[in-house]
Amino acid sequence: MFRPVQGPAVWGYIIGALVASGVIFFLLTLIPGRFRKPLIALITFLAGLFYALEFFWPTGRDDTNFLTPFIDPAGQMAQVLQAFALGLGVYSLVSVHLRSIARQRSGWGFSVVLFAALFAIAISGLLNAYRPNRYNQNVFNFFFVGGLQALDSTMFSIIAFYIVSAAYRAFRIRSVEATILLSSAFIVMLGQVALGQALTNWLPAEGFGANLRVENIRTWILTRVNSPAVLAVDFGLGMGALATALRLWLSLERGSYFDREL
Amino acid sequence: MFDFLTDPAAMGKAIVWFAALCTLGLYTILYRENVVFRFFEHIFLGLATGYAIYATWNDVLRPRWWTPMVAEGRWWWAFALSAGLLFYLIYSKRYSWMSRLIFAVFFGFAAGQAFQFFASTYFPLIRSAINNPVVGVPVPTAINNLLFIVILVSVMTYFFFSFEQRGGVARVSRMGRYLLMFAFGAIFGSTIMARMSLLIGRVFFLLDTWIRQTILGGA
Amino acid sequence: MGFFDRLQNIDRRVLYLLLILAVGLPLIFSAPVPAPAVLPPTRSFYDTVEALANDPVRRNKLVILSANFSSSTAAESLTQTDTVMRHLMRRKLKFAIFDFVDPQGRELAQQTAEKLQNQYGYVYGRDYVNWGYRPVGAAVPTVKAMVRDIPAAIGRDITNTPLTEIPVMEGVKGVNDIAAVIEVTGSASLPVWIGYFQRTGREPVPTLFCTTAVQGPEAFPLLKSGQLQGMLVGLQGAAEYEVLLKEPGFATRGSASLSYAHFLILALIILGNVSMLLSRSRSSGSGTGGTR
Repeated sequence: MFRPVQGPAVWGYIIGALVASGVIFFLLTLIPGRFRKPLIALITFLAGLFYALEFFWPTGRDDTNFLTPFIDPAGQMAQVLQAFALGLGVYSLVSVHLRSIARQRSGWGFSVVLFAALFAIAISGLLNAYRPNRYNQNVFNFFFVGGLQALDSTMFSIIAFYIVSAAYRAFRIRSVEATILLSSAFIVMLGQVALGQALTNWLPAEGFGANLRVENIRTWILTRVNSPAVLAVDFGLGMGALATALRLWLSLERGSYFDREL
Repeated sequence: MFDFLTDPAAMGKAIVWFAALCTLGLYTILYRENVVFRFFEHIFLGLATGYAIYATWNDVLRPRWWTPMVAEGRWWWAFALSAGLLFYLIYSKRYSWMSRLIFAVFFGFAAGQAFQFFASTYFPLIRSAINNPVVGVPVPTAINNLLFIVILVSVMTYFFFSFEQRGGVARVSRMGRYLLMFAFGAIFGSTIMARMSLLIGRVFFLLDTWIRQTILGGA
Repeated sequence: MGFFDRLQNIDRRVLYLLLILAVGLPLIFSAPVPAPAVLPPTRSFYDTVEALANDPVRRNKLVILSANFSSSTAAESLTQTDTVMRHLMRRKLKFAIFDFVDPQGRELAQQTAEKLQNQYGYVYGRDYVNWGYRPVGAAVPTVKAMVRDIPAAIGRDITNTPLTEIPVMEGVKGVNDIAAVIEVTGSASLPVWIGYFQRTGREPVPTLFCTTAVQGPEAFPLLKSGQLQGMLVGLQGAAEYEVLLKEPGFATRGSASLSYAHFLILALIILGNVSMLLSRSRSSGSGTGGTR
């Protein structure tokens, strides 16, 4: 049944598949409310079971088990479906700005600018992909390098100004904790830049004295003090993530999304 | 009329000028909120969204869905369109429950994958945390290893909320909090470096690529 | 309001101006700073790439350059990509660009490769390939599928050419044909490689990490556990790598600015605290009481 079809006939099959999907959709609408949650729980469980079994099931000499051949189709399916899901965010953004233009709310001109930029880069990107030539490449680069790359990097670089202001106004020694935090930050900051390292580069590079060089103290803090502290937090996170995964898999998770009546 | 679009030198300059305008336009926010910033902010949003649409089509949907379905005749990929459209039922009051069918698949996938993730990620970490001998090794190594274990245990104690922390446990927990602050200080120091690096990137672009190379024509 | 109170309430724009001067002046006047000390994670990164290049079997395998970043962290991530790619090209190692976080990553890494390819005699398709972008929600299923069959899991490159028809992919089937994974990221994407790829072959795949400085401290435990073989932390990590490669670039030029910006912040923190303490002692001395 699932064999590739060549030529124009493929369109007949595609339309047939879409019609079949419509029938499945119609059948789904007939499912009574009380069966909907169990159905969703069943799908969650089976989807989870696939990857869990594939991992736990013993493998043969070729290092595969009976589920291994399905890993690749599952990967391809996930790629395609997740690509469709991108439209959720786009839909949300587009609908907000379309409404703004339609109702001519204050600042609706900015929404027009947004759409102009959106179409400009999307169309020039597609033209460059389908008809690659110097003209199309230059137009695409104008929007990508000149526009997106510059704007994205600038937007995030603005944080540098805010962090300076915050460091000056808020980083105050008011408690033991703040003092410890500040001293560790001081050493790490000195040890991670060339000029800071130069303060102690008169100390020997080898032997006991080298331990007192600021870059080595910084490395020691990161590997011997920071590492176990981060590891301890990480262990907690790992256990929590595994527990949450189990609750999701078995549909035991609670909250507004999961408890809502369907 | 559009010959300059194929001239690399002219386009190179146009790109640098546009990038400089975008950079300065966003930096106007540092003075105060203004329309120039909002203008470039919306260009940014539009370009980011448009680029994501292009890249998703070019890198994912075209090679993984459209080409196999239409050019290679694998017609059953049409079902993926129907399944993908289920996501959008989240916006329908009547049929929003159906969007959960497709979300359930990905929740399930993530849950099922968690076991392998835990084993591959945490087992080596646990092994390395335990492997810190304090006897039979040089004294400095023993001190470092002991410190590693003390910090690990005390920070874990700080996060242990299953019973009330009293006496010795409370003292260990307090030490855990101080050590955590020491670690946060290191993270803060690194964060400073990250943020400064991003700014240096933009200032370097303005001073070197734009002013020196493009306006002054330096090499 | 006394001098120290005024000092505490200084206009934020004055601070911004000081920062611009601290960053900009060293770039204008090319302020000299000593070469940064090469720290152990950077050294082991370099040594791992060298060991790959010197191994007659592994040097014929493919390196995955996972460009999981966007322009937002370009100053760090793109500089790291540039310097690491130079090393790969200098040692004639084949590599594949791949991206599953932000599609900008595959574009930025491709631009870097195109900028360097003539200098090192590299040709797209023969010496390197770009597998393109895959959505982050499909990252784990894709990487799991790559363990056994990369051409099937990825399908086609960014030019829509099947991977099976690209020369550099010849002989590359699964995880055992991968020499190393180099993850360049400003996001939490490294666990995908460690959790689902690194230990799935006959031998663990060497994994190298180019991280932003924000994330660096969190990754140190992975060096100790052997899950990472090397790490470049932020722009400074890239500068250290440029020292090892003896090819100074943007990271080296930015090193002076980075130093002065750090010293400015340290000075501001000290000034802020001193003015707070003096302001406090004045107000308690004059009997007005209260602390801020």
